[in-house]
Formats: sequence, structure tokens, C-alpha cells
Amino acid sequence: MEFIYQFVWIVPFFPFIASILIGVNLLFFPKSTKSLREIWAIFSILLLSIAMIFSFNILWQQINDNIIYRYLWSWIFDNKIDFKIGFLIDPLTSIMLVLITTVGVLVMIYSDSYMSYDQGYVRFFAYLSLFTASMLGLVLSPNLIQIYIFWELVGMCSYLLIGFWFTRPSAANACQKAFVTNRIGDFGLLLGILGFYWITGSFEFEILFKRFNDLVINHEVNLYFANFCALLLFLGPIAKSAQFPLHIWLPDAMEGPTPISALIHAATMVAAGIFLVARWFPLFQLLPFVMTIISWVGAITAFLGATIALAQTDLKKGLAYSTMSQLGYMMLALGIGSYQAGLFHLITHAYSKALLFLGSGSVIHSVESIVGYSPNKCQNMAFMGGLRKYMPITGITFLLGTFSLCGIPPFACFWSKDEIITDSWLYSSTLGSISLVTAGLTAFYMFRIYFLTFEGDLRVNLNKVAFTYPVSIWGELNLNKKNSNKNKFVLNKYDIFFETDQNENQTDNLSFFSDIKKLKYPKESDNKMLFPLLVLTLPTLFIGFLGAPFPEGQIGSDLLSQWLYPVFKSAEEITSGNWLEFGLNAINSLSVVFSGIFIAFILYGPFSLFPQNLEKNIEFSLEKNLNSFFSFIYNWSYFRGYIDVYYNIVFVKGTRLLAQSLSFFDEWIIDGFVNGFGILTFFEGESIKYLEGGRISFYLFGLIFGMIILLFIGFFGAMF
Amino acid sequence: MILFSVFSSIALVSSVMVIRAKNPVHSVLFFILVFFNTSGLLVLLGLDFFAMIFLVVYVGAIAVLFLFVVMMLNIKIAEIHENVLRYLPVGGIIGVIFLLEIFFIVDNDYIPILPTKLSTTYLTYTVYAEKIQSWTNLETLGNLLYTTYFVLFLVSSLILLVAMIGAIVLTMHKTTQVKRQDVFRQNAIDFKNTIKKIRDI
Amino acid sequence: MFEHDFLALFPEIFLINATIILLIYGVVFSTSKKYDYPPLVCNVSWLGLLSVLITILLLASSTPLTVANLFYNNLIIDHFTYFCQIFLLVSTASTIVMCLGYFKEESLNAFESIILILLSTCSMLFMISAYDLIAMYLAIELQSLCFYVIAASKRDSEFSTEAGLKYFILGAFSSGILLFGCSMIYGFTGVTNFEELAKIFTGYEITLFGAQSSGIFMGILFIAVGFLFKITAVPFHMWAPDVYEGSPTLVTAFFSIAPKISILANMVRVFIYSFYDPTWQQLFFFCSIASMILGALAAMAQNKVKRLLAYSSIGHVGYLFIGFSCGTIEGIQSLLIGVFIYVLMTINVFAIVLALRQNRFKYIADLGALAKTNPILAITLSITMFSYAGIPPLAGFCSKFYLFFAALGCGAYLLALIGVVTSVISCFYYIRFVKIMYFDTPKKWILYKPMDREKSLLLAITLFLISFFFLYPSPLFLVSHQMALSLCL
Repeated sequence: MEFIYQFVWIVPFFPFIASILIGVNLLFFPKSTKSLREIWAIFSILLLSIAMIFSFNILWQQINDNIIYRYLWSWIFDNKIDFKIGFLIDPLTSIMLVLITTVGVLVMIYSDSYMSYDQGYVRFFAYLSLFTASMLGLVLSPNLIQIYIFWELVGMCSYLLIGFWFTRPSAANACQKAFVTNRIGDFGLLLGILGFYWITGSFEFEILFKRFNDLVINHEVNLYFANFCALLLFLGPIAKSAQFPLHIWLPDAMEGPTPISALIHAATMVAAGIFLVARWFPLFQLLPFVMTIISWVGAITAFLGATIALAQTDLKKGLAYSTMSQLGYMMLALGIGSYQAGLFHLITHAYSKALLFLGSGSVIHSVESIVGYSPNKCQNMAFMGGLRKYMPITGITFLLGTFSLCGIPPFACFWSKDEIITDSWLYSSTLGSISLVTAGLTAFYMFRIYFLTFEGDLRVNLNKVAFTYPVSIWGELNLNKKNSNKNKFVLNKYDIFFETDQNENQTDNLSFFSDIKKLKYPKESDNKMLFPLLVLTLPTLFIGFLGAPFPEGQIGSDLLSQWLYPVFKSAEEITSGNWLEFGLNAINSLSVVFSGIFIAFILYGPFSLFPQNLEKNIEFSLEKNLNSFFSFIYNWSYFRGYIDVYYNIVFVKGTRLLAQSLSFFDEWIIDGFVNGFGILTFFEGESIKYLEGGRISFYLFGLIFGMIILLFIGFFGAMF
Repeated sequence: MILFSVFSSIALVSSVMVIRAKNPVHSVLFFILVFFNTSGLLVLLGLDFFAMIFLVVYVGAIAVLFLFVVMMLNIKIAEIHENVLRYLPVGGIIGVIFLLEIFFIVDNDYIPILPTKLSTTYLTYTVYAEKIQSWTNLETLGNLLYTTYFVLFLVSSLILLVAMIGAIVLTMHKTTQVKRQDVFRQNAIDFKNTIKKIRDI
Repeated sequence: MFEHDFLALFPEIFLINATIILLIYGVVFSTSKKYDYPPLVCNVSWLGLLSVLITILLLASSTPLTVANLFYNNLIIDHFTYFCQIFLLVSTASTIVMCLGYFKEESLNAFESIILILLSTCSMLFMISAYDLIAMYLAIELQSLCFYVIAASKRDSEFSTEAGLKYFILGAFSSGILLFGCSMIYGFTGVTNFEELAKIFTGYEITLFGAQSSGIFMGILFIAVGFLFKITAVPFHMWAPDVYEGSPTLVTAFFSIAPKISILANMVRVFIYSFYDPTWQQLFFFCSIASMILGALAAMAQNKVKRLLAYSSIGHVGYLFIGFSCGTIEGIQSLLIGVFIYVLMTINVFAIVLALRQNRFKYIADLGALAKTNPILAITLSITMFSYAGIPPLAGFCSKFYLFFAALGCGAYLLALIGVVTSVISCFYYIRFVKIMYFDTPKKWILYKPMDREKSLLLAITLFLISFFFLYPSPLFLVSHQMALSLCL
């Protein structure tokens, strides 16, 4: 049934419609739109759900008949240039479609509750829909131009959404950082695209791959240039997927609302880089040098992310580094050529990480009212603990997500991660050991996060850290007072905050066990937030079986790989062995994982060896008890590997210095040139103006004079 | 040939005189002389009808109109030629170059129609000149203008229409301040009604 | 003999008849004492608009012949003329729409200018489909004669009269040169028909001192000079700023919109179809460079709006000549796209200029603080100016992009380079409009009257096309490609 393929454009179109409608209405009828906020939310969720149903349908079609469907519509038509836009459906696309739409719908439902008291609620939905639309468009793109357009759109949406609370200076900085970092990658991507257009003369994937293949086989292309272009192209995914040199924006991007972190910075947008590399896999495959670079970038990122994540106190930033590390895994998998393992991990990780992020959002949402609205507080794990008692569903789902991400057998990520580790062992022992160690680290930090957040006692009420005046969500307080009539939501929040502040003061005076009623305890979030968590648990649990090697069918039974296989015929032999082999491999990694969990349990678990109900920063316990080497590592990790500092020194200061010298050069030489030219032209203009006196005889004279000039031109043109 | 040189040389000289004459009336008269000579040239070419038309239209209408205008405007004689020498060098050079341009053309010839490689010996052709009954200029013109090329004729009629409209638009003022002749009213006016006795003296 | 030809020429016949009927109507009623000498400008303009629209309909719908030589090879219709004529009529219609309110505000009771505009439209229709040197010359002459009259149509104004006179004398001179060229071509080849000329010139090298006739070379040169004068390319541009400035704004608008289409169409027909030769290409090469440079430089020092727009149109003619001097199919195609977009932008600008008529929008500085007094108009004007300057992704950028692309395609790197440099320079004065509107605070604030609905509609349509052209440009590409093909094959 090819019928459904013709309507694929609906999938990105519906969310786009939603965003446009919301945006337009918000622009022209702000009041009524805000009063109808729920309806708009439901509207956009509905449209996205329709898109989701469509994409499920497409996935089903793809599983059944496995046709690569391509639809093209010529956009700019000329006999030299021929840009076409359209869509391309293959298994990769259909999986991504399902992934994006499901996570999108769930995140929308979730954020309906999460954002319900925010004054930018409707705007948020508009952005969200626009993001979903452009992400879907990116996935469906059949050529590079379209990919680039949607790539930029996605980046822009991410910029808007990270800076959603733009009055908060840190959010504004973060979104700029993200945007600028991504611009570097986009620039590289654009150069790469143009370079490959130069080499092959096409933007269409299929033609491009084919031509490039021919060229490489016939040695008709300069390999250095091709490698260079491929590296430039790879710069895009590096930035978008937060790989090693350009990863710095991802943790800061956690300034955005948590649903955004779940959707964009864990499940979909960061996966766009991986997706692009996967799309380009046939091309990168021909360039072994680039493949090596990809794999090493992936490995370094994985390791770095994991080590940095070890000591983060911020819940979301910890998860962000974890995301980075997992993306590194995927990149590693793609780099070593195990295409389907990388994609498999992309899918499993997307669901698990979305679950974790939404869980953390739920935690933050409920802790927020107690600790304070500043992200330094409500996301600080030092103030959490024992939350499982108060919010059991969140706790359990979070635990499941943690299990999955660590790679405990029945859960999703186990299957994919294990495959990657096995493949990397097969590829090179160095990469294999890195990935294995990273797996252990992953287990350690994930359980550290879990234990700190959900086990033990709630440390907020133990804590006597003096609260500084909070940075409000919507900027300074006096700013809100000006338009206090409008910002009722904000004021409500302030009221709550003042209450808590008073409570805090009172708890200082009282002993905290005596008056439980005065103490606030976090409550379980409402159903709208729990529903997505529960739904996401399902894929976290079961999606792994899609790619799990079942014993009975031997090699061919691996559903996913069998299914992704025909996409790229040249993909190397699928390396999943039989059950026994797989199990043996798994034992290896599992042992590492469990040791990581064990250490985490010892250090941070509820029955830990070290008493941690101290009011001070918990991490000091670690420093006391372990030797200075670990403290060094800890510090390294805590300060994010000092990379930001180095960046600051090298790039920011260096750039400033360069800029100053350049500006001097510019001011006196370039500007002098330009100004001189401008002045010159101005004088010329004036002189021309006065040249035309308005005498007819003069005009006639000019006419004949011009004719003679033309005669000479014709004459000399004929001569030469 | 002699006639040709006579006509053309007189035409050239008198056209120079049109520009150089100090008195506008003289220059218009020289202008008329140019027309006469050119119509003479036309007659030499065998275009008798055109020669007549030339005389009738240009001399009979346009030149006379010019004369009227010149006489009505009463231009001062001395004004015109103050800066002749100033422009002479540049103008002269350009004029020379322009003449050279024309000179290149003079020794050129009618270009051959498509060079064909086919042998043309076997082709028999008829001499149409013998078959055509000799028509006068006027007949030929009429035949062509009113049949084959009637579109051009229509377009030129449109040009005339535009000229007429233009002349009317640019000269006729419809405002009330302008004095205008109203022929019917003038004719209808009766002497007895025009002058009235208001009161007895 | 010509029955079918009449059928094919029906739109033109209709337009001429309608014009003449309108003329009679005007003459009869405006002089009738019974109706107290009614001012008929409004009626005549509406009726004229109507007749142009009907002509468009007739042309678009009912031509049974699509490709034919008419009237003994005097005229031709094919895809090229078809689209050009439709485009020309549309632009004329928009000019008439622009002037609907103009006469009333200027208290100018001259229905004849509408008649003359219609007549010149007819002549331009003939010009586009001319297929013979005589037909071409007559059409050009008819058009120029109409133009001389409407340039001087505002008799109260000295500027207008002076403009008309200048235009008339210089135009007559250039017509003479053109006719001289035509007669030379006829004298040395014996044919006037384009198709036969094309056959003769195929494989025939035109050189000045060659073995073959240099008379033809001179003839082509003179014809080229005549055309270059009419289209205000640079060595022959001097009349343009004076005439554009002096004549009434409406007439300026008409001058800078409609004749560009028809003359370029005719030039393409003459030079690319029949005189296809590398020799004259160099002439246009030179003219293109000179026009671009002069258009950019001279406009910089102008203070008056119409003069500036005149120089800007000279510059744009230079850009269009890039495509022309390429001589390739891409070149023609880019030329046609360029004309289309140029006309769109010019309609837009002149509609704005005509809309701003409280006192008399004459100097650029009068635009000061328009952003505060009339923000929407200011935005419209700034978008158009950005488009003129060629800022992506507006339409002006697309047209320039394709012109440069065509230039690069045929190896004329110098043209493309100079084009880019001059478009950068010309950014200065286009963006000066924006600066004045948004950042200057004038001493005296000028409040402009709200414009009428027709003009605002026109503005909306053209602005929409300018801003969103890049979204779906393929139809224009296809059409222009077809036009170029029908010309070249």
C-alpha cells in the first residue's frame, strides 16, 4: 500500500500548522489566546498525535514491505540548477519518525502540567510544535539543502527554547552559547555540503553517494580534499550532538524548561547529529580516515562525559553529561562501522533518557516549591534525597530508567550498549577498553544520581544553608512589580516563595523533627506528568528486545539489524553472534557495570558506609576518605574537566586579543580603504551630477560621442 | 550624373547655410532650398510621386509653418552665434570621425544572398521584370500599402492620430482665463444687440 | 487573405478600438455644455483600466493561434510575445491603477493622458510582436510620440514642458539614427524581415574592415544606439534623469515600467534572434558595465527621489544587460526574470511615491520619520529598497543572482564582478531610504494622507511577490525558459 506514503508530508505539516496557528494567534489576539491556553495545548497535542499515528502506520508499512519511497517536487528549476524538495522514507526515517512523534506527544502532555503556571505557556507550545515539525522535516529530507534548512530551523528552535526564560541571565547566556557553538558546526556543515556538491555535483543523497562511490573507486577525486570536506561535514554533527570539542553548550542548555531538555537535548535534536552521520554512512565508509576520527571523537566524548558526570551536583547537568557520554557511544559505534548498533542505541537511549529527564523534571517540579525556584537550588542534588517515599511512581520509573541506562540485562539500553562494546572490542582493544570503562562509570554516576535523589533522607530540611535571595524566573522583582497586573502567575509564585522563605526561617528556629506540619514535603506530581513517565517506561523496558539476539533464529533473527540491513547494502557483515557468544560478552560488561553500581551504593547508597546526613556539602565526605588522587579526579570532574576554563582562556581571550589587533587593522587600513572608496564615489557622484547641466546640445553631443565610443569598441572587438 | 552632383552639392551647401544663417528667416528659406534639391534627387531616382509629396508636404506645409513661427516669435538676430568657435575643435573632431564612419561604408557592396553549394546551372528562371506590367510609383505604393502592408499603414495612421491628439493637448487650454475664439457665437452676434443704450445722454 | 491573422491579433484590435471609443467619449462629453464640462479623468481611467484588463483576458484565453507569422511576416506571435504582452498589459494596468487617485489630487483634468497611455500600450504590443524592421520602427515611433506628449502633459509646470521638449528633440534624433541604421541594413542586404536577416547573418562574420560589408556593421551599430537611447543605457542616458524628474510622477512611473519590457523584448528579438553575432555583444558588454557603474555612482549624490529612481533604473538596465550580453539561453532567461522582478519592484516604489503626496514628495529627506507616522508604508518601502539592493532572500536578490550566474556561465567574469561591486555600492543609497525613514528626526514632520484602496492593494500584491518570490520561483523559471527557448529555437 503505497497510498500512505503519499501523505507523509502530513507528518511534519501538522505540527507546523499548529505552531503557525498558535504563533499567529498569539501575535494578533494575545489575550484571547492566553485565555484559551488549554485548548491550544490540546489542539497541538491532537495534531501531533495524528502525526504520530501516521508515523506508526508508516513504520508498519516499512516493516512489511521495506520499500524506499522517494517523492520529489522541484522547487527551483533551471537547466543548470535543480533544487528539489520532497521526502524520503526508508527504515531509518520511519524509526526516527516514530521516535520523535512519540516522545514529542509525551513531552507535550507532560509539559501541559509542567508549564501550567508559566506565563509563556502558549508560546512554549508554539515553539515546541515548530521544533517537532522541523525535526520531522529534517528526518524526512532527501537532499542536503533541505537537511541544512531544517538543521538550522532545529538549531533556532533549540535556541528559542533554551532561552525560553530569557529574563534569567544564565538562560540568555546559555542559549547564546548553544547557538554560537552550533553555528560553528553549521558553518562546517555548509562548507562540507558545498564541497561535496563541488565534487559530485548533486545534493540528492542517492546520486551523491553513487557518484562519490564511482569517483573513489576510479580514483578520480582528490582524497585529501574529500577527507577535508567530510571532516567539515562532520563538524555539524559534532556541534549538534555535543561531541568532544564542541560539547560545552549541552550542559548549559539545561537552563531551558525540563520538558525541553527531555525532548531536544536528550531524545531528538542531539540525535540529529547521529542521524546525519548515519545518513552519510555510505559516504564516510569510503573514507577510512574520517571513520577513525569519528570513532575517536565518539570514544573521547563518551569517556569525558562519563567522568565529568561523576561529580555533578546539579541533577539535570548530571543527566546532560550522561547524554553526552551516550552520544559518544553512538558516534563510536558509527565510527567503527557497526551502523545498526549505533542506531539501536540511539533509539533505546532516546526513550530511556527522555524518561530520566521527565522524571527529573517531576522531581524538580515538586522540590521547587520547597527549596526555591533558582535552578541552583531546585536542581541541586545536595538538597534532595529520600524522594522515593514522597513520590513513589517517579522514583520507580526513574530507577527503571537508571537500570536501562546502566545496561542491566532486560532493559533497553543493555542490548544496544552491549552490542557497541562487543563491536568496539572486535574493532580495537583500546576503543573497547574505553567503552568498557565508560560503561562502568555510567553505572556509577547514574546510581549516584539515583541514590542522592531518591534514597536516604530529604536533606533540604536538614540543611541550614543560608538562602540567598533567589534569582527569580522572570527577572528581577521590581520588574515584575511594574506590570504586576499582568503577571499574576509570577506573583503567585512569589507568594509561595515568601511562604517558604518564612518557613525556612521558622525551621531554623525550631528543631526540624518537632513540627512536621510546618515542614513541607514534596508531593507526587499530578497525573498528567506521571502518565508520560509510565508510558515511557514501556519502551524503556521492552524496546530492547527489538534488537536482542534471540537464541532460536541465530543471526537472522535480530529484527532490527535484519531490517536496517537493506538500507545500506555495503554495510559490513552483521556481527551479532549467537546467544552464547553474546552472553559471554555480556558477562564481561555486566561485571563492570555491577562493580560501578556497587561503588556507587557504597558511597551514596542509603546504607552507605559514610554518614551523609551532614548538613554540609555531601561531597566532602568523599574527599576526606579517599586519597588525593581521587580528589584530583573529583575536582577535575566537578569543574567539568576544566574545559570551559581552557576555552575561556584560549578562545575567548585569544579571540579578544585577535579582535583588538584586527580592529586596529580594520579601523585604519580596511576602513580607510572603504571610506576612501566611499568618499571617492561620493565625489564622483557629485561631479557626475554637475556634469549634466541640462543643455540639449550637450546631450546631443554626448549621444554622438557615445556612438563613437561604441564604434571603437566594436572596431577593437572585431580586431581582437 | 551632372544633375545629381548639382542637386546634392546645392543641398549640402544650403543645409550648412541653414545652420549658419544669422537671420532665422534666411535659414528657413535655405531649408526650403534643401527640400527642393532633395526632391530633385528623388526625381532623378525615378520616384516622381515621392518628389511631389516631398514638395507639397515639406515646403508647402512645414516650411511655411516655420516661417510663420519665426516671424511671430521675432527672434533677435545676434543671439545665436556667440559660441561657435568654442565648440568647434571637439565638434570638428567628432564630425570628422563620424564622416570617416560613413566613409567606410561607401565602398561596400550589397552582400551576397546565402552562398549555396548547389549548382545553379540547371535551374531555369523566369525574368519577372518582363512579365510585370510597368506600374507607376503611385500604383505600386497603393498596391503594397493597401494590401500586403496594410498593417504598417494602420500603424502610421495611429501615429498621425497621436500627433493630432498631442498637438491639441499641448496647445488647447480649457481653463477660463484663456481667450478663445468662438466662431458660432461671433457669427450669431447681432450689432443691435451688442451695443445697448444704457441711458439717454 | 488575412482572416486568421485578424483572429490572432484580436486583443490588439480590441485595445485600439476601445481607446478610440474612449477618445470619442472623452471629446464629446468633456466639451458638452449640457453636462457642464464634466471632468472625465476618473471615468476614462476606470474604463481604460477595464479595457486593458479585457485585453489581458482576450490575450490569455482566446488565441487560437499560438505560434504564427502574421500579416505577411510583419508581425509574429509565439510564446515569447505571448508572455511579454501579458506582462506588459499587466504592468500598464497597474500603472493606471496607480494613477486613479493622482489626477484628483493634482486637480489635473486631462483624460488624454490615459488615452495616450493606452495608445502607447498598443504600440508596445506591436513592438513586442514586430517581425520586420519597418513594423518595428513604426511601433517605436508611435510609442515615442505618445511619450513625448505625456511627458509634457502637465502644462502648468515648467519642468514638465522642459522634459517634454528635451525628450522630443533627443528622441527624434535617436529615432533618426535608428532609422538610418534600418535603412543601412536594408541597403546592404535588401531585406527587412527578421527571419530573412537571421538567415543571412548565420555564419556571416560582421566586421568593420573585413572582406564583407562593414555597412551592415554600421547599420547594426546605429540600430543599437537607437535602442540603447530608448532604454537609457549609459552613453545615451543623459535625457533620462531630466525627463524622469520633470514629467509628472505618474508618467515617470509609466516610463520606467512599461517601455523597459517592450524595448527589451524587441531588442532581444532583433539582436539575439536576427543579428546574433559576437561583435555587438561587446557593445552591450561595455554598455552594461558603464550603466552599472554610473547607476551606482551618480545616484549616490541625488537628493530628489525621482532623479534617484531614474539613476537606479539606469543601473538596473545595466544589470539586465548582463543577461543580454551573455547571449545564451540562460542569459535571456535571467534577463526575463530580471525584467519581471525589476518591474515588480518599480511598480511598488512608484505606488509608494504616488501615495505620499501631502505636499509633494520630492526630496528624499521628506521621508524622515515615516516609520513613526506611517509604519506599514515604511516597512513596505524598506523591504522594496532591500530588494532593490539585492538582499537575500528577497526577489531582487534572486534576479541579480541569476544574472550573475548567467554571466559566470558564459565566462563573463568581469561583468559579474562589476555587477557585485556596483550592487554593493548601490546598497548605500537604497539603504539610505531606510535610514532616513527609521532613524532621522526631521525638523518638520510631514504627515501624509492615507492612500486609496487601489494603491494599497497594488502595494500589497507586489510586496507579497517581492518577499515570497523565493519560496516558489519555478513557475517564472519555467515560463522564462520557454520564452527563451521559443526565441532561440
